[in-house]
Amino acid sequence: MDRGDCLVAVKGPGPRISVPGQGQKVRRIMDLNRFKIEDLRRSCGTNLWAGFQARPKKVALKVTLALLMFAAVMFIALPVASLFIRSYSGITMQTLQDPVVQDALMLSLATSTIATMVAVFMGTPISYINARFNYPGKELIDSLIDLPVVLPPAVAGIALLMAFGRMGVLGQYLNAWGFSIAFTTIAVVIAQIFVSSPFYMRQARTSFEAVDLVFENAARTLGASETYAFRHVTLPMALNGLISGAIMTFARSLGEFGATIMFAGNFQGRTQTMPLAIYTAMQGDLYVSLCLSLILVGFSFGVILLVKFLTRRMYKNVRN
Amino acid sequence: MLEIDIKGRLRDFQLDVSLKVAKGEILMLMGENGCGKTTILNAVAGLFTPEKGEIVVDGRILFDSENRINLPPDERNVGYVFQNYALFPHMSIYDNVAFGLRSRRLSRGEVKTRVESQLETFGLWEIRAAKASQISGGQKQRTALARALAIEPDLLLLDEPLSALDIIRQAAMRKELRERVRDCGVPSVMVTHDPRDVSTIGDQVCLVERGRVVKFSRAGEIATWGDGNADETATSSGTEVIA
Repeated sequence: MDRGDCLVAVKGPGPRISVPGQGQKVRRIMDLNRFKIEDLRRSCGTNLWAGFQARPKKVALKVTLALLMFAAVMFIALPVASLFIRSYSGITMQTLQDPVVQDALMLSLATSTIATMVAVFMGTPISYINARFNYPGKELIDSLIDLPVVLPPAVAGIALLMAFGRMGVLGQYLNAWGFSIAFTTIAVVIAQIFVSSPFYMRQARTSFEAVDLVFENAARTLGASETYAFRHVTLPMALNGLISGAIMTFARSLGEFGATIMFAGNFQGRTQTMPLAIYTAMQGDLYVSLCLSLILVGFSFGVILLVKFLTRRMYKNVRN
Repeated sequence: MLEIDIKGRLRDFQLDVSLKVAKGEILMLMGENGCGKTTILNAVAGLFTPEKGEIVVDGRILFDSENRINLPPDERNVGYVFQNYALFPHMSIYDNVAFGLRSRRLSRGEVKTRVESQLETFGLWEIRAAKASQISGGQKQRTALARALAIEPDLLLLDEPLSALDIIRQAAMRKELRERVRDCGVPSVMVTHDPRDVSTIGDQVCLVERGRVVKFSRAGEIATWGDGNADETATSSGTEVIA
């Protein structure tokens, strides 16, 4: 057969005819009943014989995929499940009331809340500007914002020390005025902001970009000033995205370890956040570590569910 | 009376139009996609700034490049029905219609009476609590028009208000749209692709090509335009009519 020709195959008792497309000619009509299957395979290039072999192959493929998937799920699920299994025998209400746990929990919640609030306050205007306007150096600033996401936390910690430490670029002047930031609770918050605010700014920019400019334009022609349009149209339409960004930021702050331990130290009640307490308690009371870990696991899972729910609702809302 | 006389760069060609629309008159803009029809509307609404020219409504200057006057969109008092309507999806129909009045900081009582009468007139009272995504195409168009007219604009701009509807709905909505636009009695400019819109709704019609008005006539005469090659022959006479 030549390229572009159409083979019309007739098989079985009733004729099955495929209609040739434009530019194709029906060269011959084949009666499949008279051909051996191997012949046909050679003549028209379609691997019909494979159809008979497909079943075991398909099953094998499905089994392989299922096994791979099972392995991947177990790889994540087993360690998480082990946390619960090992905790079951040893954690009591007393562990939860251990001062190390209490201090770390309160400190983490307080610092992460403040860090998230600062990130939202700082990040919302920047994200909106980056989503809507072009200015020279925008790409550079955007990359700078993303940098802490990929930067190793230890590097972030050292960088913060070099900036705000006693001998730091800015810290030496602050120190002269009697302010010391490093190894205080403020340092914990700064480390968290530095590491986690990109999560908010990224999500906020995407959320603002998702709101079609036509809605702002419509608001403007109806008599809304720029700020009124932002407050009543753009912000509410982007809100679900902004909230999920803030939740991500909060979660990342809660888990901050490397930058905190380098820049803020590890003092119980002042700079020892939950991850630091987990690490420290490992040497003494394993169940304190496990108890804190369980709290963080539960919280993380809740965060993922909430963010999924919010982003799904957002994209349903912003279409014109 | 709306007077538009604007020049400006638009992608790879020059926008250069001059149009006049009398009070209560409806001017239809026709032309291929990307010829600058919507840009003309945006220039009048203040969403696009031309390089040169002026836009005047009833003696009120909206834009004048020589005297550096360029009113922001919120001070132009223009009713604009966008393509696909751009109804605020996070608000109810009621809040959509009330938006313009609320952004003008009108008193609560006044907003309430005006929105309620507007919803009654446009047959939207029953669905006032619905969200924009829950209503039909025809209802969306009505809401968009009700929202644009609620602010009692000095002129009305409509960007393909019928194109988002299915064919059957179009015919009915076309007549309704004509009545409503006529009733508001301000100069109106409407962009369309459909000659049926022109003959049913319009008073005047002009054909825009690459940023210029190449044909201008009474809407009833669109049937005599013919299609295709007639465009070239009419180019010269069209510009004369404008001049």
